[in-house]
Amino acid sequence: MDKEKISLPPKEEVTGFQVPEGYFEQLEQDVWTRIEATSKPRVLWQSWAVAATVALLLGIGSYFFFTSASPSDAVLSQQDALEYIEDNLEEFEEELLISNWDETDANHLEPTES
Amino acid sequence: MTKTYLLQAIRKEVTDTQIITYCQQASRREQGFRMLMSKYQERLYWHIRRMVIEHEDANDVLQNTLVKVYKGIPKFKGHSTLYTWLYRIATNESLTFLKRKNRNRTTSIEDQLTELANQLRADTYFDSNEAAIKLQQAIVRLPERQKMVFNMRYFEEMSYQEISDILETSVGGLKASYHHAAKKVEEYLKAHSE
Repeated sequence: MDKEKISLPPKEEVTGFQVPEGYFEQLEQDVWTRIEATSKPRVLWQSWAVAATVALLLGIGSYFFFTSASPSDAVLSQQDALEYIEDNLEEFEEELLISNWDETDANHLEPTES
Repeated sequence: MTKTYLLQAIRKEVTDTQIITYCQQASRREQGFRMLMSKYQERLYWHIRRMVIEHEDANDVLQNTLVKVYKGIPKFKGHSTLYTWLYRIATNESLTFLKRKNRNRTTSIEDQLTELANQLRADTYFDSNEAAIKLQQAIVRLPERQKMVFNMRYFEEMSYQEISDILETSVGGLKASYHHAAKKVEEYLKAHSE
């Protein structure tokens, strides 16, 4: 497994990479510029901009949340339910009506002429 | 005074302990970091360049590496040597860069080799002798891990122990990896010699 058994060209003959002249001298300055750019404390207006964006997003989100599926649309009032049953009384089975009968419902009954 | 230290750093006379001590003191951090750059920037550059090939890419990855080093060195605990730590960051940055670059690549390996050869011939910062191009074509065919091991051993002449510390792999595994890589490179060069 030793590398002597493998024949590779001398690395000096095949190292083709070069760098622009003066690259390493300039590099230090470039790195400092980048470090300074990434370490700058966030200025006040940037903080305000972030806060305003978050508030705006929350506002938009809340608007859609509270307006798209209003609970008042989904809940049927007792009055509506009674009216529906009265209008469609024939569609309900007698047994079902009796099983859901509550004595307090008797108070709502109006005397009918028989 | 600073210039003396920088010159010493360039001549590799500044010890890593000195560099770390300086970098971890707020008042001397800049001086310490300049010493670190003077001592290691060139070695790190070549390590990265052999991985990413193009000078512009290597420059970008190296700068990212050094910014990360600057931000991380105050917390450097010395569990590994400074040299190992720097190489590890550079290696990870290079691999991340390559992953991003190759994410959407769908071309075949043969197309990639042609593309690489054309790219190297056109590269102002590559001495485009055909032997060097052939070698790079052979290397680019290797899996990432083998490619790294091959470059570190063949070009940078690192010991297996050093490579093992950087890549956190066993020396035995690295020897096998290098052997396979070198064998593949040799075979490719033989098959493509005129």
